[in-house]
Order: sequence, then structure tokens, then C-alpha cells
Amino acid sequence: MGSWPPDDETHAAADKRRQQSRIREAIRSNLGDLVRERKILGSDGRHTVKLPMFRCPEFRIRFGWHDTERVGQAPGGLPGDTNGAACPSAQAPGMNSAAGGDGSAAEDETEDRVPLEEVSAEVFADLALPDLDPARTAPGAGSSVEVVGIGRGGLRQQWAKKSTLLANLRRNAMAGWPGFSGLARQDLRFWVSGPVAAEQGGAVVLAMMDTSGSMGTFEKYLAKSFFFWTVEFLRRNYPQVEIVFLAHDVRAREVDEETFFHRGASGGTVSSSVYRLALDILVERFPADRYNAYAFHFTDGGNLTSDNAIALETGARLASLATLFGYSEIHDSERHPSPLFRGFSQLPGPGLGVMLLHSQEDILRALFHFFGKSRDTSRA
Amino acid sequence: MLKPLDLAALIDRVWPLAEEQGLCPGQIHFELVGRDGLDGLASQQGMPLRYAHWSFGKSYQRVKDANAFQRSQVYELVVNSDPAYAFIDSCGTRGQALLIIAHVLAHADFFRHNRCFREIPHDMIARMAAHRRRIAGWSGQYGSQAVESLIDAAQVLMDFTGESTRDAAGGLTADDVMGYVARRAPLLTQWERECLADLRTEARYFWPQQLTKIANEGYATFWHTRLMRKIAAGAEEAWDTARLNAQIVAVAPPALNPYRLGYQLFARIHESGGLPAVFGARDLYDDGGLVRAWFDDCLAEQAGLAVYQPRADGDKSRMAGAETVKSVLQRDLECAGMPHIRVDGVRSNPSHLYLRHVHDGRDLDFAELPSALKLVAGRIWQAPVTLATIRQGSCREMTHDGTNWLDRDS
Repeated sequence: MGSWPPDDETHAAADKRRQQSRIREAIRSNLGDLVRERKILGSDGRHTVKLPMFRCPEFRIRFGWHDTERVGQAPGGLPGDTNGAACPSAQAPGMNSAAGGDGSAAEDETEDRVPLEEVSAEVFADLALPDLDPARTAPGAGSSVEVVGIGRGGLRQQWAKKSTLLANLRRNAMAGWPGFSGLARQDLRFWVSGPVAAEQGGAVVLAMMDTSGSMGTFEKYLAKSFFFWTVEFLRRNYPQVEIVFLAHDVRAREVDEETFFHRGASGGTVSSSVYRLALDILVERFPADRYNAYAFHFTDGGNLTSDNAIALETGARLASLATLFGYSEIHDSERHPSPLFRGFSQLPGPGLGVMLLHSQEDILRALFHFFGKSRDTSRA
Repeated sequence: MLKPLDLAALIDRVWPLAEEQGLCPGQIHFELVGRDGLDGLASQQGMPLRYAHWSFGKSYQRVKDANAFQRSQVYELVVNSDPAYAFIDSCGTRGQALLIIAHVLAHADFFRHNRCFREIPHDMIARMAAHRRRIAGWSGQYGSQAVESLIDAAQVLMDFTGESTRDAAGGLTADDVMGYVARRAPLLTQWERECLADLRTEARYFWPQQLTKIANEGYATFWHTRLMRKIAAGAEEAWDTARLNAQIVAVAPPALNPYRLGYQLFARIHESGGLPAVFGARDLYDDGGLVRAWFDDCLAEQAGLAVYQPRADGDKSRMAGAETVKSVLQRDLECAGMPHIRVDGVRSNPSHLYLRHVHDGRDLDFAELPSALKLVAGRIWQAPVTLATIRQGSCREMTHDGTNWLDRDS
């Protein structure tokens, strides 16, 4: 053996990669739990989520840790021992021979903390804005490769002749012989290309939330969770896409993100108000020839009865204007869908998706229902 | 930062002294290794080349974390082979290195003389490298999923390859569960049997080391203490050695410090019979034997040990008499802290594997038992596996068939 490590890079790194891919598998199979996890919502500055189930446990047949007596060092000072206090950091013996003592049960009890970033990446890997028309010319989902500058290296096809000529002239002038002569390697210039945000695939997302008094803690939590993950997903996958936050009770207002996620609830419900506001905003600010529009409305379905017909009609107009209009009702108990839900369900056309949410598990289902890459247009 | 030449000079100071005292460490190949390298080695139980498996990645992370928070630090690793390999931390001071070299010489001496290591082959580094190549080959041929799941399941049984340090060719004694399934599991293919046999060989290599944790570390600590007292060291070196030694034998209740207890046992032996008795104990004892023969009332008081009842809401200790401490300690150390699991060769058949737990007063961990049996039933025996044991005083038979878990009276 030469020197250690011989092929450490490939070896240890491969084992580590495999373990991380196991963690990712675990994240994927537990997405529902994660998305539902209340703590994620809090903007408390923590960017990790606690994932006790991702320990990648190694199962053994061994003694139970509890209720079995064993021998250990006694607490407190030992006879003639004075270094107990002087050496507080020495938690464990400093040496280790090649003995094969494996991780004990206690060691395995630590939880893996997985960065929110990593969880998001897994959640969002399969999500996309559906039916996006890339031809609409506004900032949005598209990017293109364009020339971003001039560099000294590149393929012959990317040879920038004018810059090369200039570089040659400049070098000769510096040396005291003005004019073009003696083209050398250091004069060569090439076009450098890179991805740039392009004015194509323009998109806007309208987040509409019912903030009426009838939205209880549970309904609000589900609605906010959905929008939280939607915003995270858009920021990550489509940083150019604009998001408009609309809150409504009997009247609708455009609010900023902070207010949207943290305001209280009061008042009755008139859904048509928010649809009309959405229509106005789309027409004024996001013309359909330049923007793909996505509108999502979360409500408890307790719309004012007299408003149902108008809401249905404005909603249908919104659906025809938007690439997708998602209407979601949150019911904490099994009850019949509202007339509005039934009305939207019966509307024809691919531009409209409806969904009922009953439990926290449904947040993930809603995300996949609306943004799943193989989006199933059938009604959930 | 130590250089190879520094190390050679330090070895030249310690080695003659050690031989003069009667240590016989044989040939040792010393290697200076950086922090990351040592962590990597420690996560692979000190062996430079191990088969590829995610558990080593996990273990590497754990070693790294423990290091980062200064919970423990690895200074040296010794491989029991001929010549022995010693990996030494290159970031230490010269004083630390002096002590570590003395410690390493004693480990090598212990490996060469203790009876538990008599049947260990002397080329395990090369064998493990060969296992690694074979396993990588099977991964290529049969898919990494097939190999990984087999290793996952095999690791459950790697603690049960036979309790004796004599090797009975695999699968011929009831306590060699691993050898038994490698031979007899009905549906395994040839490469899977070979893979299990390789893993069993590796587990057999580590088994004597698991049985002699206190004896080996105690012996090494005894010798580094003794040699450091005799060596001519400068003031700074002496300070570094003393400081490192203090860290090694420091206690952190409730964890048992094997270095400390082992040192006290060997100091006691030396007191009563001089160096010949120390060498006699080195040749003869594993941890259980050492405690059985030399743990007495006087030592019990000196060692400051207590009997603990671990609880979720904080461990509860009780002061116990020397006799109680001794008997609980012996029970902890016997069989390296592993339960006694036997193959029930009479009841076992190709469609059902029967295991028996020889109960010694300690119940098994029933939280993870189903998952452990599931791995064996699902991947290795590919038929139901039953473990007969005692739970809170009543006889139970726990069965897993790969999908369902059954826990019933027997």
C-alpha cells in the first residue's frame, strides 16, 4: 500500500452519495408528511426541517436500551480525582483502536436535520406550470441562450473577427507599430454564450384566498400552506414569474405577500368580487397575448347564495382568459360541495381545475393536481 | 504538523525502551494521516478498504460530527495484520505522538499474543480489498440494488457469527447464525452465498476486537503510561503527553471508559505480580475474563462505577456493592454485549427459519426487532423467520415473513 487514502475520493464519496440518495428517497416517500408539517410555515428563520424518520436506520438484534441495568461511571467526583472539572470538554475517550464496536442504539437516536432547500428540491422536482405557451413575450418561464460577451477562448465557429482585429491593432499600437500585422494567438477573440432571462413564456400567478370569517384555523392553514409551497416553487423554478396576491371577503383587495400570509379573517364571502378584481388586473396589467395566467382560489365554499350565479359567470370568464383557473374548496368534514363547486365542475374546457381538500395530506395532492407535470385534467 | 522524519525519530526513542521492557510488537508499518483520512479510516473500523455500502457514509458523517463538536477524537488506528499497520494523526504535537506510538506498540503486542486473535488471518487488509472488488463486481453484474439489500440484511446477522474465537468453518455451530444461513438459505444463488461468506469473514476479524475492548485498551494505556514515565522527554513534550493521557482516562458519566477501567485492571495486576503477571493476563484474557479474575472490592472502589438504569427521562444510577457491580459488568461484557442467538437446527427447514434467544435476564429491543427480522426473512431466507425469546417474563415467538409481523405466546 502506498499512502492512505489510495482511492479515498471515489470510495468514501460514493458511500456518502449513496447515503444521501437514501435520504432523498426517504424525503420523496414522506413528502406528504413534510408538506403538512406545520413548522415549515413559520418564518422563524430556521431553514431546516426535523426529519426523525430519515435516520436511515440500521436494524440489529440487540438488547433493549431501557429497563436494563448496566455499569457506567458514577456521577460526581471520584476518590482522588480532581480533573473532572478541569477537563469538561473531554466527553469521550480520545483514542480509538481498530476495534469494531458499532454504533450503539443511543448514537442512532439523533435526528437528521434536512435543509428546507433539499426538501423543496424534492417536492418541486416534478412540478411545472402546466400548458405553458412559450410564445408569449413577457418575463416568465422562459430563458434562451444568447451571446453575453467576448472571451479569449472558444470554438472556431464562434470566432469574433472584429474583436480579434481590434485586439491586434491595439497590441501593435502599444508596441509602437500602428497597423494590422502579425496576428498572434493572443489576439484571438470569441463570442461567449450563456443563458439569459428571455422575454418569452411570460407568466403570472394570481393567488386568491378567501379571508372571510367562516374560514377557520384549519381552512386558513390549508390555504396558506398551499400558497406557501406554490410561492416557494415559483421562486425556485421560475424566478421571473410574477405573483399577485388577492385577499377577499365581501370585497377583494390586492395585498402584499406579508399581509397575504399573516392577516386575520372576518366578514362574509362574495367570491365574484375577487374574480372581477382578477379579471381587471389581467386585462390591465397582464394582457393575454404576452402572459400565461394562472389563477388559484382557495375558499371554504361558503359563498353568499345570491352571489353564486355571478361568481360562476365571472369565474368562467376568468377560466377562459387564464391558462388554468384552479378552484379549491376546503372542508374539514364530509359535507356536500357548494353550489359554486358543482357549477365549476360542470363547466367544460381544460382551463379549469377543481379540487376538494379535506385534510393536511391534500396539500401535496393539490400541488400535484395543479402543477404535476403529467397533470391529470380530470376533476379531483 | 508531523513529518515522516519526525515520526521516525520519535519511534526510535520509544521502540528500544518498549523492547527493553519486554514488549514484542513485531513489524509495524507507520503511516501519518491527516484529519480527514483518519476520520475515513475510523468510519470503516480502521480498515483502509471496505466494500461499498451506504452505512459507511453514515458512519463517516457520525465520526465527522463527533469530531466537529469535540466529543471525541481519533488519534490512531491499528490494523491487526502482519506487518501491523498504524495510522497516526499527523496534526498532533510531538509529545502526543510519543504517547500514541507507545500506545500503538502495546496494541500490536496485544494482537500478537492474546489468545483470542490466534486464528485471525494476517492479511485482512488484502482480503477486505478483495471482498471489495468482488462485491463491486456483483454490483455491476446483478445490480447495486440486489447487492445493497443483501448487505443490509446481512449486517443484521454479522453480530452472530459464533461466540467463540475459534473458527468452526462456518455454519456448523448453533451460535453461527450467519454461517448457517449462508449455507442453508434455500433460495440464495451462488454469488449471494459467497457474498455472505465474505461478510462473515470480515465479521470474524472484528469479533476478537469486540471481545477485548477493555483488555486491549487497558493494556495499551498501561504501557503508554509506563513508557512515558521512563522516557526522557522535554518539558513541552511531557506536558502534551500528560494532557493527552488525562483526556484519555477522563470520565463522562454515565459512559463507561474502557481505557480507564482497563488501565486500572492492569495496574492492579502489575501491583500483585509484576510484569510477568501483566504479560500472562495479556495472553489469556478477554474483557469478561479480565473482570472475572481481577475486579475486586478494592478496584471497585477505585474505579468509581455505578449501576445504571437507563430511562427516557434521564438515567438513574444506584450505588451498588462491589459484588453487584462486578456481576452486572460481567454480564455487559460477556459476548461483547450481544445477545445469545442460536439457530434451532431441529425446527428450521427451507420454508421456515427458527432462531432462539438464550435469555440472560435482559430483554431484546423489541422496537427494532421486527425490522431486523424482516430484512432477514425478506432478503436472505425468503421465507418466515421466527425468533423465540422472553419478553417481560413470558415466552414469545416473534415471526416475520417479509410482509407481516406476528408476536404470539409459546
